[in-house]
Amino acid sequence: MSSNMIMLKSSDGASFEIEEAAARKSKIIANMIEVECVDEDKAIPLQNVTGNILALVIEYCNKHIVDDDDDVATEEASEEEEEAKKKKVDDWEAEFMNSMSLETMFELLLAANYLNIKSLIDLVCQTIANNIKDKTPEEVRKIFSIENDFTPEEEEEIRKENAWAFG
Amino acid sequence: MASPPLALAKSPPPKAPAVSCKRRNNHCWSKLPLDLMLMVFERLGFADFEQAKSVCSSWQSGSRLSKPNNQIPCMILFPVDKNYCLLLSPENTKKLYKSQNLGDDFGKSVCLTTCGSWLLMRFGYRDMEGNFSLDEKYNLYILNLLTRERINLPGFESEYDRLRCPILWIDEKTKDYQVIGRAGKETLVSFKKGDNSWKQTKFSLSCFFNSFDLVYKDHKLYCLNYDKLLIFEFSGEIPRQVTIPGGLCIRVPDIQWERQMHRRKTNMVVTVRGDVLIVRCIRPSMTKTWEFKIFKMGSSKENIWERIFSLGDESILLDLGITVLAKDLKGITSNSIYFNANYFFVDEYDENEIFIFSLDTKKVERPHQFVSSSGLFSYARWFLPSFKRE
Repeated sequence: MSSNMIMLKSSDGASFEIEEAAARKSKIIANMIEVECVDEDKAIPLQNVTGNILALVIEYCNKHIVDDDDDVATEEASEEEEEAKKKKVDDWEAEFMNSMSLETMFELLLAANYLNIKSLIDLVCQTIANNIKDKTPEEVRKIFSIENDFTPEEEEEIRKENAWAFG
Repeated sequence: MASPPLALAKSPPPKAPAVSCKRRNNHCWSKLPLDLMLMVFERLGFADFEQAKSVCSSWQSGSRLSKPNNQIPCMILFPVDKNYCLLLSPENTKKLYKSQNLGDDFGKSVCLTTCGSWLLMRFGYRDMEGNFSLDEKYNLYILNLLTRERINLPGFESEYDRLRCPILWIDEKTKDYQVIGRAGKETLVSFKKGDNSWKQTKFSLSCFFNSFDLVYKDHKLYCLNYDKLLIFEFSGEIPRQVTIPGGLCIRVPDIQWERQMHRRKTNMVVTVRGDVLIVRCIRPSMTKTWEFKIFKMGSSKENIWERIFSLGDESILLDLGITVLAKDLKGITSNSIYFNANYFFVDEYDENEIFIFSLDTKKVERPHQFVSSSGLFSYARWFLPSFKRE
């Protein structure tokens, strides 16, 4: 495996150095590397990602650099080892998501989508879903700062349509 | 030669967010790009999805395109004489979800079977002593729990006492439906959308109550008839018997139980892949514990049923006669039997009669334990609320 370093540049001009293996978590960047359109001297500009978000993305990629690299034939690890490893990653992910606000999460999701990092999209979507769970629509609006944009008539209609209420 | 290094950034990528979203903008989450919104919705269970779509108009319109996870079995409860039903979702076993008013006759009806969010209901009544009896005439209707859409079926008069092994199949999109059951010993009855009356098909079925079962899957009717398995193609006008490789029928093993039994039942299950399983359930005398033996039709040449001890990534939903994939899904236990011994005329919830049996641990799981302690008396069954709405 090469340990080439790649430069990424955020929309607000911040530059980040990242291992190629980590950067390859992004399908978009991986594709660019495949077609050799990465100039070694120049940073890849990412117009839709700000520096603070890109830092999070890179943190995530660095953490997940080894665990699911297809090229590396992992030695037969025992079940317990596998489980322990998985738990460690899970704990890290939980802590990682816990540390950010919902606004940051929103931007992180857009960035993950833009860079096409499937596992990060999954992680953020799951975290958002967890935040919706067991809440009333009113509570969800409050948590996510969403305005109720239904007219009273529409709301009545939805109330009727929604068969399920809290018992 | 190498393309310009900035190729990506110069042309906007196809997945760029439709709305640029400034921080502190309160409307952010309502403007989540649709593909991402759908990915979030996919991760919600039944009840949470129902709540989430009333949050705002963009979530509501997104929800109409969503295919939330419908492979998680919920428990549905029918409190006696009430015009609503209750739902227990594995996502939150401490909460009961109550449906809206499902019609004044709902409490006077029993649920014979389900298909997605549709229920096949039959009218009944209480006699002077308060005992629940079913209407003599087979007045059936189909009811959608979520939309409360209702389809009345024509009356069905039969010299026989009841529709056994009732089956409901409905296409959520086209609303094509099919109701099938057995009446008497040798008759299959069916009614499908567009029919004027019930269709009767005579077969020589030597019925034994504990060893007869019907399952409908992919337009095929699987008919377990004591010691034979028959399969009928049900898509045409007339049901047509399908030849099973290796002969017209396959003898089902006669299973010896080691102990005296108090109760028993035999169910047929058709797996995700279309394999036929036979599940024999017994409750030995002097015990409240059910035991299970599962058999699978062997390779086609040998015509034998092999006992199997694992369902792999699948789980059996006995009430529906199917298996579902349970791997990596929250809220569903793989390699398990979602068991229900109750008949629909039983009023009471009995925790020994409805539970999840894990073939891995051989243990019984009662995720809805609090139902029994709530003093809620109710008939219950498992169902898969495929609640996708067009």
